[in-house]
This record gives sequence, C-alpha cells and structure tokens, in this order.
Amino acid sequence: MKTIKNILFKLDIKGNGIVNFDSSSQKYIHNTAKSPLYYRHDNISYSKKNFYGTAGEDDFRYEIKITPECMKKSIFGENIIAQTSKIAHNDELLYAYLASPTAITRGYLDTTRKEEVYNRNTSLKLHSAKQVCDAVPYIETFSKSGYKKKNDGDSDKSDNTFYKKESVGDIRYESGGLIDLKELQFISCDQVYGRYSFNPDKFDLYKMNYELRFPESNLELDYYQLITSSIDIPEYGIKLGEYEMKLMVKGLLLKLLGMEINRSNAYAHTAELKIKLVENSLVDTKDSEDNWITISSEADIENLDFNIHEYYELASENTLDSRKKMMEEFVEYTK
Amino acid sequence: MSKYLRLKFKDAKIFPTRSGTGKNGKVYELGKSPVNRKGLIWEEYITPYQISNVVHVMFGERPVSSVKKSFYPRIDKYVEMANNSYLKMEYPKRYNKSKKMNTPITEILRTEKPDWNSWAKGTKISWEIIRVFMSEEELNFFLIETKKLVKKDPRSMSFKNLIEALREVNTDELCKALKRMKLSPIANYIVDDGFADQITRKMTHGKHTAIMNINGIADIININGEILVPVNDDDLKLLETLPGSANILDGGMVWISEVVDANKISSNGFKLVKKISTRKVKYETKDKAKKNK
Repeated sequence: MKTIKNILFKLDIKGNGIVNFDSSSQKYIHNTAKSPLYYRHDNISYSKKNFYGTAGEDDFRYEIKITPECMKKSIFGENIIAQTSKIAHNDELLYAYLASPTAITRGYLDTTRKEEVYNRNTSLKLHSAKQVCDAVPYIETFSKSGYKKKNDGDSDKSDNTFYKKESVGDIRYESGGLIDLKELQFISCDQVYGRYSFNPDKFDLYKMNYELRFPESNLELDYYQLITSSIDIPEYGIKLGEYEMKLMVKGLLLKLLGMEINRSNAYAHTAELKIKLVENSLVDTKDSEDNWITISSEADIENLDFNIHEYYELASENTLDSRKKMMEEFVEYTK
Repeated sequence: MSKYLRLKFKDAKIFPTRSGTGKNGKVYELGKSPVNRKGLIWEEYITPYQISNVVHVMFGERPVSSVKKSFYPRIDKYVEMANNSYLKMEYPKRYNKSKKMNTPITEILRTEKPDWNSWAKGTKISWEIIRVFMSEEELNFFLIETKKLVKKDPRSMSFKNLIEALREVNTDELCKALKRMKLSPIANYIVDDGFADQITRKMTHGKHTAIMNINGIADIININGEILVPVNDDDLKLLETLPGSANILDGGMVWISEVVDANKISSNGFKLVKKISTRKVKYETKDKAKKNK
C-alpha cells in the first residue's frame, strides 16, 4: 500500500451563467481597456475575472473565474453552524464546532473570548477556477418592478428599476488544489508557536465532541515534534490518528466531487474530479500529466487505499528542556 | 551543472493600503496588545522574508514571522537559499490618470470585520454577551436589582425584553449604581438602544477579541508567479521525503512544478530575491497627507 505525503486534485467544472460577482468598480478597467463590457453607471454586476497584462494595451485579456472563497462556501456551507456571537460565547456549542471534521479541515478564525483568538489553517488548498472555453460574456438588461407610487401631481415615479448584469451561456472552468496532510495531521494549541486552535484547558470538552464523530479515536494532548524540523522544540497539541484522517480526506473528496454552486439563474458543478496521491513530491507534481486517478463516484473514493506519512512524533524527554527555555523567554517577553 | 527548483504560486492575495486607511489591520504580538500596522507595511508585495518562509516550509522547517517576535530562529541555509532565488510576479495593471502610472487592478473580497468597526452592527445584546461583559459579582448584583424592579426572574426573559421592561419603571437608582461600578454602557443601553454597541465596544476595545460580522469587504490584489530556488542533489533527496507544498501571502498556494537546469531557464521577468527591497512604507492618514501637501 502507498504511503502518501499529500493529495493533489484537479476539478473540471461545468456551469451556465455567472455564479461569482465582483464590484461595479470593475467598470473603470473596462473603460481603460475600451472593452464592450464597459457601462458608465454603477447599477451593474460584473463577474469575477482573471485579468492579464495592462488595461488598454495589446497584451490585456481576461477570463471569467470562480474564486476559492466562493467554491469553499459551497463545499462547506451546509456543514457550518452560523457564526453568531451566541455560539462564540457558549463553550458547548463552540467546541462542538471546533472539534467537527468541517472545522478541522476547513480551518477557522474564531475571535471568541477576551484574550483568546482560535485559529487553524485550512487543509484544503484551492486555487481559483478559470474559464477554459471560449464563451463570451455580454451585458444584459434586467428590470425589477416595485410598487407604483400615487401620482400626487409633483412626481410621476414608480419603484421599477432597470439594472445591468454580465451574463454568459454554457461555460467550463478548471480548478485545482491539494489536501495538505501535514496541516491536517496536527492540531496545535500552542500560543508560543502562534497556532492556537483551542484552549488546552478545555481538552476534555474537545475530546468528547471529537469522539462523537470518531468513536474509535484516541486523542492525546501532548508535546509533539515536527520530524522534518531541525529545531528541537516540541509543540503542544494533538496528533490525529490515521483512521480519522482517512475519513476526513475521503469526506473532503466527496465534497469536492459533489460541489454545486447554485444561484437563482446560474449554476456551476463539478463535472470531473482527478486526484494524484503524492509519494514523491518531485515526481508526482501538479504539472505532470502522469498518475492522475479519475474519481467519478462515491465507490471510487471508498476504494482508495493508502497510508498517511507521519509528520509528527511524540517529543523525547531531552527536547522538553529546550521547550522550557522557550517558555521562560516567552514569559519574560510578555512581562 | 547547477539546478533550480521551479515553484509556482497562484491566488496570493495582498491587501493594499491606501492613504486614509490608517486603521487598516493590526498586528497581534504574543501576549501583548494589538498594534496598528502603521509603519509596518513592506514597500514590495513579496519580500525576501516571504520567499524565505516558502523555502523553509518546502524543506520541512517552520516559517518565522517577519513582523512579530518569534521564539525560534530562521535556518541560515534556507535564508541564503531564498536570497539567491529568483522571483517573477504577475498581476494585472491599468493606467492611473491621477498618479500618471500603471497601478494594480484590485478585486473585491468579502471578508469579516470587527463589530465595532462595521457600519451594520450584527451583534444583538444577549445574556451570553452580558455574561462575558460583567464579572460574576456584577452580574449577581444586576440580577438582584432588576428582579426587584421588574418583579420577576430576569433570566426568564430575553435581555432585550428585560431592557424594555426596565424602561417602563424608574431606573435612576439602578443606573447610578451601574455607573459607579463602571458599567455605564449598560446604564446607557437601558435609556436608549443606540448605545448597544458601547457594550461590545467596551468588551473588545484594546483586547485580543472582537466579535466579527461577515459583512466587510476589502480590496485585494491577486498575484500569481514563479520562484526559482537553487538546489543541489542533497536538497532534492530531502524534498522527495516532504509534501512539496507551501503557502504565500494570504491564500496563495505554492507547489513544485519541476527541477530545471540553469541553462534552460529564461531570466525574462525574474528578479534576484536579495535585490528586492525590505524597506517599510509609512503611510499617512488623509489629514496628515493634506497637511504635508
């Protein structure tokens, strides 16, 4: 069985219409570029775009895109509890969220109580989906009817409005990214390293919520050493088990396969997902065409078999002294 | 023959600063109050520090912050490697008539904003907020005194309903007592809804916490590019055991593209990293800029 270090993926996305909008100030770019998409008023919605070159010069071109933020919203949207102040200030609700697979894989920034900011980096790294077909966008006029005001003799206005919106027909995009197994493997709660994902004093609450999702897990809060690092100062946190990591990775792949971005008059969804299990990062690169596996169903994801490379190990006794020195320096600095 | 590792990056976001946005972001020092980013902005979008961090992470080390104190050192070998690397950045531009030069095209990003800094206040005052705002003693005092006034258990009502019930009775003594206890925001809120944000503002002012509203927007510049890092055979052996990915700036994904011989690389558009300025730009508020003119 392969021992993998990372998972690369490519997404082929099909859609119709624009699903991700930018601000109307894009009109200035189209004005400089003398583009047919220029419209002088503010009541216009433009699609998000990749621009290349300098507006107004020959090398200037653009393509429609979907940002990683928009895709992530659709991938994780259903699983996230609304982030309200009530949740942020209630430990049980907050830790039920922090210990969920969604929060662990998506990452979070929770500014909750006094003196505490919880943050975790995302394990799902996506780059924007760029248009890969020759669909040409155009400006369409829409109207919205409001109630008719009484004619009082002074004015004869109603609330009907006209507005413009960029529009396009069938469209294809291409995106990609990686599932960062190193990031996923370790949940730090170490302030000195600036990676404080939860309060270690509430580990029992975290563990309880985690075990609800992964009953076979065995979380231990301890000092761990990043194996590849030459700095022998351990970090306080939790190392996730291989069983849970595999479940989370497969869950992420399932979400990527089923990604659907829906708006009232536009949509985009995954048409094809390809993954590459990285054993050797110099051979299994994103740009090479070899070793891509096409995933077309849930069964394909179920059948994936791999081991995950160990990036962290329990710290040895002799490294704990260096940790103590670091803490003393930290305490001295914060006085 | 010397070899280079070609790294590519995409969607690296930078939040450009503008005059008049002196409060644009804070730096959170460990264990200290947040400090304004003022005077901490690099002149260049990507500096040798960011490249050094990419190289550190690519080779299995930890990144080291360039704007706040870190308690572990940079590895000299990788700093040197980063300095001898080459960087190519690509971002779209347009001609700015008033500045008479090409400026980057920005894009709008929906983001979170601290409640106290938002035009639309998302926070409604609830018992959960009050429990954080007041100490246990203060809360007990508040519960006892309000119970006397509204003649029922205040915790059986929502905080908003309690405030409305209090407005029906004489609360002068209660407000005086609250002000003596330095709980003026509550006393003011009893008088007028408009003071609600005083409570969250006092909770968050100068602290590491902030209640966030998901209604902010920010201008960003999206940067794509390539980094050429000089490597030897030992480095390549080490890389085979590592994941081969890193981050750059905000959300920028870095990946290994290939290993190339030096004579097969075109230097077109690349810049030696150690020649990139690490100068910090001090930007001015609108008022100061006017005065200086």
